[in-house]
Amino acid sequence: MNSLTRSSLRYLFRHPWQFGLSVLGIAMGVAIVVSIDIANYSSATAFNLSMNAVAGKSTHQITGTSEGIPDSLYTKLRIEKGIRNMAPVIESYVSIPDSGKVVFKLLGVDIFAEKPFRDYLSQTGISLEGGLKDFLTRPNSVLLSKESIEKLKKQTGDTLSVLINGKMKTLYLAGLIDETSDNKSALENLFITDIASAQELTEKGNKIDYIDLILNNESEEQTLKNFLPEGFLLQKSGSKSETAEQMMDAFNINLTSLSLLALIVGLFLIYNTMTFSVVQRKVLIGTLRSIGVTSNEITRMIILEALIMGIIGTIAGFVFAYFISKILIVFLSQTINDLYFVVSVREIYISPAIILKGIGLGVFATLISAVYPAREASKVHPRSAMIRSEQESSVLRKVPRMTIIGIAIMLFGAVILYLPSKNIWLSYLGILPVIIGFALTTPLIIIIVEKIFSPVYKKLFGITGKMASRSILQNISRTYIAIAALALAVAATVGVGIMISSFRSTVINWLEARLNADIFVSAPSLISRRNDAVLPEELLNKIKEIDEVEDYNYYRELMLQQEGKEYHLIASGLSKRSYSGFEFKEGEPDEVWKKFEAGDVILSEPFAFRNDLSVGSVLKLKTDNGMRDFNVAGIYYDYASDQGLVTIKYDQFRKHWNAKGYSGIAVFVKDGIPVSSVKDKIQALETNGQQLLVRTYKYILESSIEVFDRTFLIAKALQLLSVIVAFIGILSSLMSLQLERRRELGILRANGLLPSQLFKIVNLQTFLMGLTAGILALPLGCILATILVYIINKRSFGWTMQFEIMPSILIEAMILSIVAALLAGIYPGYKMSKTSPANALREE
Amino acid sequence: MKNLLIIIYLILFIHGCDEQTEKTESGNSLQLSKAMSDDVDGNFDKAIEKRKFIFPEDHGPHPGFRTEWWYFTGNLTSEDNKQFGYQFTIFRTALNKDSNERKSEWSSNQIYMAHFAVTDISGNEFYYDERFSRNGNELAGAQIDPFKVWLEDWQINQISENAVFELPKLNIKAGSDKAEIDFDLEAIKPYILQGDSGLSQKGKGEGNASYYYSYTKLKTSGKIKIGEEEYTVNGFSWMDREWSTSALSDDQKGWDWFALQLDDSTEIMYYQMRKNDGSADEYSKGTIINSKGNPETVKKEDVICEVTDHWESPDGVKYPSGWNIKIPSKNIDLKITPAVKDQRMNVSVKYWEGAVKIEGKKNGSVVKGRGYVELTGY
Repeated sequence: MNSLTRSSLRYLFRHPWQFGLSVLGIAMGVAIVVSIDIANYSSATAFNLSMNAVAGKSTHQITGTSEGIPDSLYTKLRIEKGIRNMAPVIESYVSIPDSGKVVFKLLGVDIFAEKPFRDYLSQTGISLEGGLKDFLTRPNSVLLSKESIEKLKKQTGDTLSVLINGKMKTLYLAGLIDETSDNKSALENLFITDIASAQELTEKGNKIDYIDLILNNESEEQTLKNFLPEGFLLQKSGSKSETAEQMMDAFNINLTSLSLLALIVGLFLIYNTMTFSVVQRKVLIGTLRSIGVTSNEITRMIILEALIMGIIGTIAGFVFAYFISKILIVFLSQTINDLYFVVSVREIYISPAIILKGIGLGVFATLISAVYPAREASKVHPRSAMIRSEQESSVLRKVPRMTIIGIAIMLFGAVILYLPSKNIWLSYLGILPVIIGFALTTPLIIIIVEKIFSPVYKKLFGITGKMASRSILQNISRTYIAIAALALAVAATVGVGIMISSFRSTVINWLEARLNADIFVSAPSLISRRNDAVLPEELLNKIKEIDEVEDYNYYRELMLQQEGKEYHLIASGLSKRSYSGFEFKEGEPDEVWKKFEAGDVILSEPFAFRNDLSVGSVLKLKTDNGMRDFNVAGIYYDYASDQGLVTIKYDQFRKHWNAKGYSGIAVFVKDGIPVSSVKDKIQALETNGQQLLVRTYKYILESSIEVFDRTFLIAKALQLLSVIVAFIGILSSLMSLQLERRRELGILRANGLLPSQLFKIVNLQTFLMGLTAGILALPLGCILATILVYIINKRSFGWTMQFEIMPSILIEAMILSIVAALLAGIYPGYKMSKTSPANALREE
Repeated sequence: MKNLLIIIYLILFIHGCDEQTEKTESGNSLQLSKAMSDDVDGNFDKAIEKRKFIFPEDHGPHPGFRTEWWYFTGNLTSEDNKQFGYQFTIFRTALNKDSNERKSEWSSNQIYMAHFAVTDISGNEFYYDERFSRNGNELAGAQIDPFKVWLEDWQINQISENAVFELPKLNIKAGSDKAEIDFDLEAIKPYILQGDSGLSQKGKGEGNASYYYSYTKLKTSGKIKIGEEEYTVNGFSWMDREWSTSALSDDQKGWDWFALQLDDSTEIMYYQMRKNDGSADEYSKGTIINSKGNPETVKKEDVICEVTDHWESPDGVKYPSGWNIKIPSKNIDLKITPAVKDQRMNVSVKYWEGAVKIEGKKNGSVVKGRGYVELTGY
């Protein structure tokens, strides 16, 4: 180890706080990005594994009409067409009331057709202990993994009450499937049952959900396609996972970019730290240079220091990420279950890409942010190093140029954002220059704030006040970065906060207009925003017969799998009074409704956006009679699904689809009659075992808002984390700042300044820094919010939102900024005030 | 008397056994014979008393019994004088006797299994395949009128209204990736009841028996396809029908079974039940059918069966592969040679079943013939 490295290490060792905080800052930045990645990747992996467990080795699938595939088609394909590698599947979700909210997938298979598909079902894979005979002949028998049965605290031979499509059923736990390390996750929360039991449990009649196939070549595919009747579709097996990935795409990108925002704050921090360490050692570096150390060696020294910090920070970041991701996964899977599909994420999965990205961000970003400080250090002239004010005056000289460049960069960002594109990444790319440009204008704002506050401080606090305010300016090369980092973190809070609150009030307004009935009836569903269970048709007749019912709406949801996409179709039996609940973005309402009644479809805004459709376009939908064209009559504002909805009149729907039953019924109660009495009457209706959710307007509104709030829980958590990073940043820079001013403050102390006065100076100073950061953060936050609402959300989801700045968010942000700065100043202030002047004045 | 072992395998497959199913036949047969002799539900019908066979009803399924099969083997010759053998069998196994009424078409308490093999004697090749299915959703089943037994597109179908010797003309059809058969069959000799008027005792103990009848000579014509090559073939088949609930006793290990068709229109069926120690069980017996179709039972003491050669499978199981069968009281002395050495069915339960060539003397005159041999429990 040469003496230069030793000197460098000694420096780091002698400044453990500064070193530790820098490492912590890097660690937090890395941790946030990595943990978001892990959470995303784990949920995707869990979903894919559960899909693979179900899809097995199939290459293709035949999906049926809205009712499924008739048993006879399967037999026909096997016997008449002699297709060997095919297997019938019924897939459903069951929830287990006795075990909290645990959801299992129910997979109905024909064990004799399974061998080529799901190898865990081959005969050796099944522990026969429970009896395969039961599995085949005893109704409702299921097989499950050892882990699952232990989780349920059951044994083979036990029975289990479950809820399937809103009806209670009793399963018989017939036996165990052998777990191997390969299939362990695939078997998680999975019941395997005989196709006959599955048909009976799900009450599918003589229908199955789909047929798995292994096709070897195109010609087999084509032959089969030609043979299939209208309404049946042959598609590649991966398409379900693909559809799921597509669904999650925008959502994931937004999470990732929020995490990148945290990283940008982290990078500022690293830059800040490295700059400090250079500035602080100017004398030392000058001395080194004068004894013959070359400028290249100095550069190398600084880079090496950055590397060490980067590596340690990255390692620590991964450790943090592990814990943070565990929490994020809980939020994330809740959101996915609320919005998209059923998934249970119980394990953390990490991909090499995530690790590389983490290392890249932690180590290389640290190195890159050290380049400028290292270059500055190498430029230190042996003589000029002794002049302490050199750096500061040079920054002050640069302020006008920095400001102009900053504004230019911001404008450049604006241009990128203005480019007409649907690309979300491009939008995020546009945010970066806005942020950097804004940071460059920080010194100017500091000067202005100082100019305004210096007289005020002097008046209020006398000489200590003036000293406090002046020193911010005197140390501007260091303070501006700390202030900019804090401002950025607070601005992120403001931006995300305004976006969420704007979105929230938009959604509430929309819900209030749309939910215009009094009572809502549905079957228990596993996905909050989707009704997968179906109410029997007789129920509507029974509800109609209740005297107090004035009017009603009903609808049927259907997920159409077509061409690798999943379309969410709503067949709506709307009472005319409910038409007013729809606000059209495109289309004249009277005309839209006229066309709607004649068979045209209306699209929700995100659907039209995603699929590039407008009024007058033609939409192809997979009906039970094959692909059919539908004219688009109107586009309405809707926030129910980011995937978008296609709405068709119920009577028209029944012309093209055979699916029976309703997903939901909305009831208008006659004036003057208490809603609760009608609710009780509906609840008391005979439904043949079908459980009903009968909920009032108020309940639906509240629970919808609850789901909305849950969705943004992650965003809020990330917001909090980036504030923590910023807090670490400002703590670290204040520590350095105060430490660096040891001699200056020592002289003041020696001249009679009391420790309490010194503490006051530090606090007054940090208050002003917090205030400056807050002042910077508010406009930047509003700019970010504007970008998020009008560009990012629009491009990700196609949503039009009302932009609404809540004053409370701005006030909170200001308080946050000041409090964070003050808190960060307490320890350095305390420490400085306790240092004896003699020690402080002693040269190192 | 056919492939009991496989049925036993099926029963094990269904009734369950938490030990890993052993790969060797002997391992199977021991465990399985136990499972087989053990009527778990106790309510299946058993073959205890002699019964009257009624046709066409008895061609159809007997769901009161646990197991049943429709078995065909035959030796055929193509127009260009290529020789072929085939085996095609559909098995039925009941999981329990009572089929409770269920809503789903798929629900089933009967499992069907089928084995199919073609021996290309001239080409020295052996092709085989196996299938399973439930009888739910019409994927497999058996019915009387019209007579039909099927497992997906492997099928036995009635193709004539009128019956000869109580059996309508049949078409049998099966195939794998490599070989296919499509034959029309017509009985040219009457059926015979095996054992004691059709009650065939397989082991000691009441009920360890099956009901068993055979058509020992069916005129066969049709097509064999091997790869892309199609052959028009003619020859004779043998059909066995057997149903039972339990058959083996604990001390039995397997059997060697011979179905021989001689060119003087005599057929000989003989099975040798082997005990655990390898010796022949007293329940070994056979039937000689003369050219007029009259059967005569032969007992174990009447027959001398010597193994003259062996063949070892790639996984090291040693099978007899050549026999001398003498029935001195009938003045019969036959040398039996496998048409192809390797005719082992490498399926869920492995056994050797293959076409054989016969040369020898009967009443002093030279006779030739072709037949099928089944070897299990090795």
